[in-house]
Amino acid sequence: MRMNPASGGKRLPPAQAETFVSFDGGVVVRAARLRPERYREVEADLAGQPRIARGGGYSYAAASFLRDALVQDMRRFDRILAFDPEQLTVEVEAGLTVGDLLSFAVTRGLWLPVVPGYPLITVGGCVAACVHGKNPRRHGTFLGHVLALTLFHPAYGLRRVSPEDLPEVFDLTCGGYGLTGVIETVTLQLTPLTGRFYRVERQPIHSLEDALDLLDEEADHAEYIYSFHDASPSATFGRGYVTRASMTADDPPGRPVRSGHSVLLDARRRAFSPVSVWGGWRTGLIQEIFWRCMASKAVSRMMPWFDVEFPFAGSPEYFLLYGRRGLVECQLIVPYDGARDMARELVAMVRRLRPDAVMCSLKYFRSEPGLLRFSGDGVCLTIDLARTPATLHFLPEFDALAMQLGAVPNLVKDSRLPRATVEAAYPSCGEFRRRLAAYDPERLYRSELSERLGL
Amino acid sequence: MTTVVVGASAGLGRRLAFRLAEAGHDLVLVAREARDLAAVAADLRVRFGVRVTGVAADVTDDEWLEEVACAAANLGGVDALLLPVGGVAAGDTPCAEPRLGELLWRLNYGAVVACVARFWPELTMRGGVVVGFGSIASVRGRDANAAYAAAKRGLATWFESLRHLGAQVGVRVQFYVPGYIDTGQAFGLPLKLPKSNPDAFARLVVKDLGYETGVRYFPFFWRYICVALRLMPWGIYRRLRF
Repeated sequence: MRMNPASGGKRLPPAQAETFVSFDGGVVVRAARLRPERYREVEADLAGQPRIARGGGYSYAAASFLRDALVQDMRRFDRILAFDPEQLTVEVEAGLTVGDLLSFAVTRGLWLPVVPGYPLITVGGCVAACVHGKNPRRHGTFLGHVLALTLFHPAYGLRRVSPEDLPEVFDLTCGGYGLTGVIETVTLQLTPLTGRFYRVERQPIHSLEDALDLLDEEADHAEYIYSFHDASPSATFGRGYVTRASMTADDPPGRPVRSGHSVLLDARRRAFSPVSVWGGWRTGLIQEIFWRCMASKAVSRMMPWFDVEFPFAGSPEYFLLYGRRGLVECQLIVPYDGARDMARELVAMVRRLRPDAVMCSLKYFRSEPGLLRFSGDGVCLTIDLARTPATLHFLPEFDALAMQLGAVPNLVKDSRLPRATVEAAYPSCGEFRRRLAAYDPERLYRSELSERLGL
Repeated sequence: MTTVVVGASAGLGRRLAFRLAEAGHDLVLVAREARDLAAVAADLRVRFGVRVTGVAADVTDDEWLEEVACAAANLGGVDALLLPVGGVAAGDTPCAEPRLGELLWRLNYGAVVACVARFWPELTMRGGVVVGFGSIASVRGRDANAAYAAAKRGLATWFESLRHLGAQVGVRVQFYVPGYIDTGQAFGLPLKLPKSNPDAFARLVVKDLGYETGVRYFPFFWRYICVALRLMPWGIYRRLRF
């Protein structure tokens, strides 16, 4: 307990000056971290200072901090407040990690089909970024599983927000990047679990077009389906695998349901190494080793749910290899009719401009459109590049191609995405800005992302 | 097994409550803030299926003990008493406002002593365990946290006396001296050594509830630091500003 003397003056909660790094290493700033442990500390008077809530800190874009502002670290709010085994609903605090949530659900024979790929991402972050899982065409986005929230803003206090209560605020908050206040609790709809193990199958393919054919055939039926490819600017561009996974009703005998040991990888640890291994000739060498290793592995195997949901939890090497310089991840939803053009143009552009591209991935996407939410119908293309001069030279042309094809970029995946690109891709960006200004004229909750995009 | 945790809504107390519930203890949790307490209690009920009663009370008042006794009786009586209750205050310097010193004394010493005394007959009957928590701040006097450190030092001595009594009647008396722990109390302070994980501390406390552990430091190396601090001549200690 920390007690303040009855001085009557405003005293801010204890803060710690820290350097914050976006997960892609692109934004590094100093700010003051607050770490509330009690509800009254979340709702404390912060004397009008700009602030933003932060969960696990895994956004590639700098969505959970702002230079010289107050960063409210919500990870101590990780409790499960209510569970209804009949309605299959659970009410949790926003700082609960998706790894803990799924572990809780699985032991009760339940499941949440939409979670991002790292177990320490928090539920509050999933709502704020309206994340998707491994088959968004079948399962949609996180929003589809959120029944209600409680949201705190100093002007309004703590309010319940749902599609029925305050639907406008709900709409602005889900995929609102934390700009409407602090999400304190989230009520989620779970689904019955069909198995604790996945049968995972990999099918080798030679190009993005081949992958599109396969995904098109199977995305509506498979539990999870996505492809990943070599994206290096060489003759091998496009080689890869389509991975599909479906839950199996019976556990294989003698196998633990959770083999996963989590290696803690946060943005600062990711940027620990001063050396970036990806880039230049080294990419080709590592790619060759990687794809040979992949070819020697079994194409079909049983894997525990944790390892399938969180493939990087036990092996973070892929991200560590980017080093301090970091990476750029571009993620787009390309309309179906432009997907093949995108695949063709991308390979030509990569070979012409020779960025330090490393991997790319495809999955099919379907979700209701929103204001600034990453949503729509189409093919979701993700490309990872080492942050080098060649890559930075490539990105404006890639942005132009994406705009030309009517693609929508994911705001939390790319910390350098220019405002003009976002405004062109999201026709409702102005509407989001207008509604946010009407909701919060003082604009208390701000981040590097919101400043860059003028939100 | 029913365990009472006083100071359970945040920091070490919350982690203790979590690990106790995980080990299957039914719990009576005491804390000042009803909203946080309700969230902790709900979480433990949902996750572990144990019985948890929250008592929202200011332990510097007098009435709280009967409420706790009533809650514990409903769960079958007290087997273990964990007392990670306490707190510091800005302006706690020697000769500061006497009422502040008195309040800190009641929070850090008086409440703990009163609670143990209230449940001692029951603990004696059931062969229970009492766990107290001191502070490395009480090893030597400092220019800050004067009343807090004095209260914790008093508590350490009182627990040693209690241990004598416990040895006669079959009650285990344990006393932990935490070093820097990463709780809200230490957050943002410029400390000279790294902070330890409160959950690791809580696991240790819960694991060793059944043993005669006496006085323990966490992490262990603080025992040697505290010995060195005690032996340090005043002239050097004053300049160290520990």
